[in-house]
Amino acid sequence: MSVALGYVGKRALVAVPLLLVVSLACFALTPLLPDPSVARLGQHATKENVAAFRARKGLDDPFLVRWGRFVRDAATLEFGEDIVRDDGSTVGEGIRARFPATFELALAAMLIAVVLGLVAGALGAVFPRRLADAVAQVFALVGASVPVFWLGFMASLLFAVKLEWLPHPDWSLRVIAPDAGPGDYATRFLLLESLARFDLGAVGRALAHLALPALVLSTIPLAVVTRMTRATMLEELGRDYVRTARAKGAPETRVVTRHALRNALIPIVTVTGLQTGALLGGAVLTETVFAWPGLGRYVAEAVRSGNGPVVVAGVFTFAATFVVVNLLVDVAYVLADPRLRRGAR
Amino acid sequence: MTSITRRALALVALGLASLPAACGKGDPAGKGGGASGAGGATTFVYARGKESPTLDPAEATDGESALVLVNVYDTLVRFKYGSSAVEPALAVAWEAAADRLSMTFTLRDGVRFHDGSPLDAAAVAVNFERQRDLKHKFHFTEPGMPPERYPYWGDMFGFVARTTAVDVRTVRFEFSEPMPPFFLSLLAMFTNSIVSPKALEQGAAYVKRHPVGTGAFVWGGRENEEITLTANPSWWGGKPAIDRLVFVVVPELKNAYARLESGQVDGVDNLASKDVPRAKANPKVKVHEVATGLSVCYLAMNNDRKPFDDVRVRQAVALAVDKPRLAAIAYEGLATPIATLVPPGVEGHAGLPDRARDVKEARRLLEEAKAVGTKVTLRYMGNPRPYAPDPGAIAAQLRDDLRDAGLEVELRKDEWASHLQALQNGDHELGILGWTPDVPDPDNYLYVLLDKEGAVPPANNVSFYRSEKFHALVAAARRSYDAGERRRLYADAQKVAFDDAPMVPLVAMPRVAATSAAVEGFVLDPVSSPRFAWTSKPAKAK
Repeated sequence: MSVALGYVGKRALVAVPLLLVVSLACFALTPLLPDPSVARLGQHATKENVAAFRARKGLDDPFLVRWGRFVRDAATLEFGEDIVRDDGSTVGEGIRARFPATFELALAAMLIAVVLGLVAGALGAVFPRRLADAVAQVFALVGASVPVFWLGFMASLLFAVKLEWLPHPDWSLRVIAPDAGPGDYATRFLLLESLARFDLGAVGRALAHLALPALVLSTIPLAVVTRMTRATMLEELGRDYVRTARAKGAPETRVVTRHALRNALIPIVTVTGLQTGALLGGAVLTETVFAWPGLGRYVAEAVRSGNGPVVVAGVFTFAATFVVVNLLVDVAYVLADPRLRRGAR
Repeated sequence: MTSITRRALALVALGLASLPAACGKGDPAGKGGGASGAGGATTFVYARGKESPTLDPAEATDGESALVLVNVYDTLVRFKYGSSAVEPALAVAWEAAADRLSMTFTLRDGVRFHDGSPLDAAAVAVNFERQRDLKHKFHFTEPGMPPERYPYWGDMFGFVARTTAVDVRTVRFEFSEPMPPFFLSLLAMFTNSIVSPKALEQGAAYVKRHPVGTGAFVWGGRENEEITLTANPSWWGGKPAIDRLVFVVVPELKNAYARLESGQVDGVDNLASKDVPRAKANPKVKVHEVATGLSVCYLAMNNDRKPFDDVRVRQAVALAVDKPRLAAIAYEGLATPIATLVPPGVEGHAGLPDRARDVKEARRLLEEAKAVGTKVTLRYMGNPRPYAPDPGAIAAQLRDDLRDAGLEVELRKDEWASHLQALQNGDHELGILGWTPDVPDPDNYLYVLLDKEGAVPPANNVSFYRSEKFHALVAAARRSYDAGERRRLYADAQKVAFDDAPMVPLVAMPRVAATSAAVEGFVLDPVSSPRFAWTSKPAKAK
């Protein structure tokens, strides 16, 4: 365990300069955003209003001063003031309010992708060049090549408009848990908290509203997980230990699931972790298409209105999430594989 | 399998089993349709495109903020429901002095703010004084920064010298120059909402986040972009029929409309032009239109830049644009072509016959001005606006029309904020822009959009038109109380602008919203943002 802890510590230390570089790069690009004074003050603002606003928000300060302020504010996780809302609320408040919606969406999408991807990939490897394999390959290809915003619109038209099987996603406490009392669901994790509360009605509604965006978003990692599983499984199934297992009379299901799949999992887990980045990027589009009140839409809207602090803090949060997820993947990796643990020593 | 895993699996299975029940057809609980709620209370869910940037009426300038403000606050006078006429609200009577240098208002008796404090003349005076007086303790300025004027006050209320409480129920406005004839309309604007002085005592951040007024609805809270208001049972106008009013943000118009069709929202604030015929054909949906389109869209020509500093080129552009075709195609027949900026239906509309499209004459004028083949850029916005539902389609047609006459037009699209800023700073040759008036008076079109005083960056007069003749007419109309004389002055001003062609007024666009067919009493106001005090919908049986 101490090995793992040391490893985590080392990786966390590397993450700090990495996140600083991300914030710096993101900051350097903020002058390309539209002037936030237009979004904030509208068509009636006078020259004086605009100048006063820019001075008040320190928008004309030198680059390093603004970046220094960002780093200072990021350290408190408040990320400074939301300059477009401008009611004293901080960017941190906005991010904390929206992160749970993105987290639950990404988690659901990843679960769908991993479960379907493992099954489809394993089937493809066990029955190569048969119908099941072909179907899995086609799905993987479609997932990899079709843009999520198009798929989102189409899925929404089919399932919510034409067939009316699923609602248009409405991720709000008013809809998911209409009878919640004051203070309930304070975590804003609507699905996880309804599960913890054993509120079946809320769980059902949460799953119904989560289904469309999660399925659409899952197509991004699904393709990679499926193809990766198929490739590694094919490789594993051809190895000596599999032949030995078969020779000693182990049933084929056991050979596939206990022997081959288990060994194939390690690269799959790594790839899954790396897919978090694509998933978060895809969340920006998916959330915009489905009006999902998450971090992705918050950042997209901030780009439009020139709300620089929100853009930088949002990208920073995405980057930090990516780093943390991959850190966890690496830890899981080290814990799972004794050889790596020895290597670490 | 551990008991925890087993329990979790059982939970997921049960959740999945309850899925069909939660999202089955017509089930309001699963779809989040408005009518559900504790104790059978009616909830009305209204979808709009953006959230409200501020809830302090003094600094609000945009429609999204206004939507919340007009439902929480009252003003001294208000626009009659569904009309642009003014009627009593918090004030029941008023009288202007003969010299028009002061006006006295008598307040309604027994009105209380949502926090329980009484509405009196002192409270009203504070609300106007805090806007006027930069040193007022409620003129919110950031610590260490110099005070600045609130946008509307600086723009439109410069003539108000002082507001005082004469007695408990009487408020007096004093003016530094005779008040304009449309002063009552200005008072009905959301920016003059009366805020509880007790709330003002709590400071800037509180007022921006917690509106406390006397209006039909009480602030209920904000969850992300979702705002909830609850009915004010003791509103002086009577308790609203809706118990809970929820504003949700759905950025895509199509998406919002789809939610209306599926019953997940009860109303949408705007409709894509393409959805209007579909909505009209749907018996479950009611389309609301304001007959008089007050929003106007125009093609601005930068009169400071070549070749548009030449009146012949500007006239050629005006002759080349095919407005009827534009209205029919880019606006799906919803908009009305206009000859001048003041649209039909607004008192003071000149009724001038428009130029018929004449490409030959346009080309002749361009040849005369040696401008044939000149390369110019037409800037337009990427985001739909109330007066331009599909800016790309408008820009494409204008480019083709002008090419026919001999101008080489290139298109440039920008995000709304960048586009507006470029035009306001004069960083354009041609640009598409529009205007939704604050008050339905010719002054709010002509003075704001074409007067030389507005041609200073960031300009509202983005054509940078500076005509002394035009200015003299508009300034005289501002001071006149004679309705006939005002009409004549504005007609003359519109004729001057028509001949000089500093811009091409394109179309007037009606406001369109939609609700589910079961909703009663929803009327789209021509000027005010939608008010829900008189809206009702049947409660769902429990």
